[in-house]
Amino acid sequence: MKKVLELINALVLLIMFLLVMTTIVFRNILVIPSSWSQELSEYIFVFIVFIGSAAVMKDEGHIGIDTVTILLPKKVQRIVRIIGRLLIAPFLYVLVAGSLPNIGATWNNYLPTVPWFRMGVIYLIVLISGIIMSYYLIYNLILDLRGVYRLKTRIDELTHHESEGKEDTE
Amino acid sequence: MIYFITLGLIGMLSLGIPVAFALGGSALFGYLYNAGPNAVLSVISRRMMFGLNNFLLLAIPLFILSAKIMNSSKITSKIFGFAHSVVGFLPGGLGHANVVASLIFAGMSGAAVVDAAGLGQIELEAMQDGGYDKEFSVAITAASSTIGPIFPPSLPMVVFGFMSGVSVGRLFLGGVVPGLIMTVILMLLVSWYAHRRGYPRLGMLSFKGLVKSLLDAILPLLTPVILLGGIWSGAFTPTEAAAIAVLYALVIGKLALKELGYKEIKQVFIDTARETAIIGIIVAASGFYGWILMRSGLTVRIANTLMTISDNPLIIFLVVNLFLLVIGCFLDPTVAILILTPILMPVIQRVGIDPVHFGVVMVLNLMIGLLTPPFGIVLFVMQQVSGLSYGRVVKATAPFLLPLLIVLVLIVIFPDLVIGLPNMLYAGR
Repeated sequence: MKKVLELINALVLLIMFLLVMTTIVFRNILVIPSSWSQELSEYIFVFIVFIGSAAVMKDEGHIGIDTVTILLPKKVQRIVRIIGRLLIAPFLYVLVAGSLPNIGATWNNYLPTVPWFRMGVIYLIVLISGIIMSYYLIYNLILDLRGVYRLKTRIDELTHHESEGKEDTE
Repeated sequence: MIYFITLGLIGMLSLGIPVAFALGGSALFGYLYNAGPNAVLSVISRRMMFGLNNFLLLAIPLFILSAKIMNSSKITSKIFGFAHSVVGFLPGGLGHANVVASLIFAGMSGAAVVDAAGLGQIELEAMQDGGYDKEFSVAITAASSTIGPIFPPSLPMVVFGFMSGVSVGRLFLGGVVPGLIMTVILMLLVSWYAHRRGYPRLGMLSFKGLVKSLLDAILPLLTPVILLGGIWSGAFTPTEAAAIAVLYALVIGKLALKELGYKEIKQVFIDTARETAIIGIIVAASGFYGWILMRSGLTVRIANTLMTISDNPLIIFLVVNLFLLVIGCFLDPTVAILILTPILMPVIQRVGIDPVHFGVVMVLNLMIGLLTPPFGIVLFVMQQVSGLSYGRVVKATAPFLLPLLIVLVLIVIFPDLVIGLPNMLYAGR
């Protein structure tokens, strides 16, 4: 699922870039204001953030501060990770539960400049993202409880181009 | 409520909970505690949505994208080649080239970490082949990578502009002079090391060779001119400028240099979307957190407390700077800007500090934190790229903090170094 989400997101990012380019071309070359492409690109950005965040949840790649936890013994680190996930859970619950009324309230509203775009769709994305994030949260929690959780650091992510060859042989 | 959003937040962050969830969670607990049974759960996703729904924020993925495209094509090595041919004749030539290349790259990218991870790789290899010791190479690469977010365009400044409402165009122009000062001071330090350690220099390059390397690098060199000119003249917004930068990088990489395959482009888009999500979700969460923060009245209290220390702008500014230096050791710059800008801006405005001045100072200040343990992310990247131990990277980089601190003090004391250029160029507009 993570791979699919990432691919969709890469494609959507491309669309966002093209929409911003459209805005520029319309205004500067055709001298026609194009607020539809601008507004649409803003919502697409929201899509990228929420769907992307869901994908990142799989290997828990969201930025956090490990200055304190890294000093703890490995066993305590595991307990802290588990407590941390339990503290995130209520927030994700509220994110999901709170999106439902928003979807209902905005489903029949359309973006003024893009008549086919239901405003409710964007809260639907938040809902879906919240559900996937919760799924991965529980998934990682269970892995950790069973003692098979593998920690991945953000630095690996940042420099993965350099170590790509090594990763392939693993 | 205040305890939840202050101590609760700090507690959750120290537990290693991701920043986005620590912000959202602590604000949620504060909200539930206050509102009790009247709590409206739908407000959270609504506030997060409002926090994200801004055209300016689209500049974040676009600037990351352009920098990554340049890193995956050979543009970065062309830039380094050009820098080397211009300043290579100085003692410690490759060290100087390292600094100058970072400055040029800064004109196209807006993030220090991208600079360190991409260009840094090339710089380290070149310096090793040139007979420089690893420690020095790592230190100068790390230090010069902080020019990236100061010299425009700059990701942290976009985020600051978004949070504070300050013009991003002015912030960008405000970073020009400090970025140049950083370059000069770092080059002075390289010269000093070169004299003491007898680092090699390159013979004067022939005029022909210089022209050739200039032609190789001319397209990338023009980027900041196009971007700043476009924003300043009003032809495009910062976000549109970022899109132009992406297009430009694609055109150079694909057509002019022919060194960019579709596979690389795909990977760049995947990586960028991922990093966008990581930053974006924090922006969204801070939209909700900021709303709670405003309701709690904490910012007013902090402002009042700070004002009791002194009403001298310079002293307040120094206190704020010391605070930021400490925070910078623990928080990623973008994260720190997202959390602290709404808290600090009221104070800054009340004592009459120019918000553009403050923005540039804040970004530079937090950049220093990228090079300090325990959480200096550039240090970790350098460790990974160079293969040195973390301790040795820290020790090697430490002397290079001094020039950065000197620049910080300079731009704090002389605001005109920052706001002079934007005020001049925007005068009468």
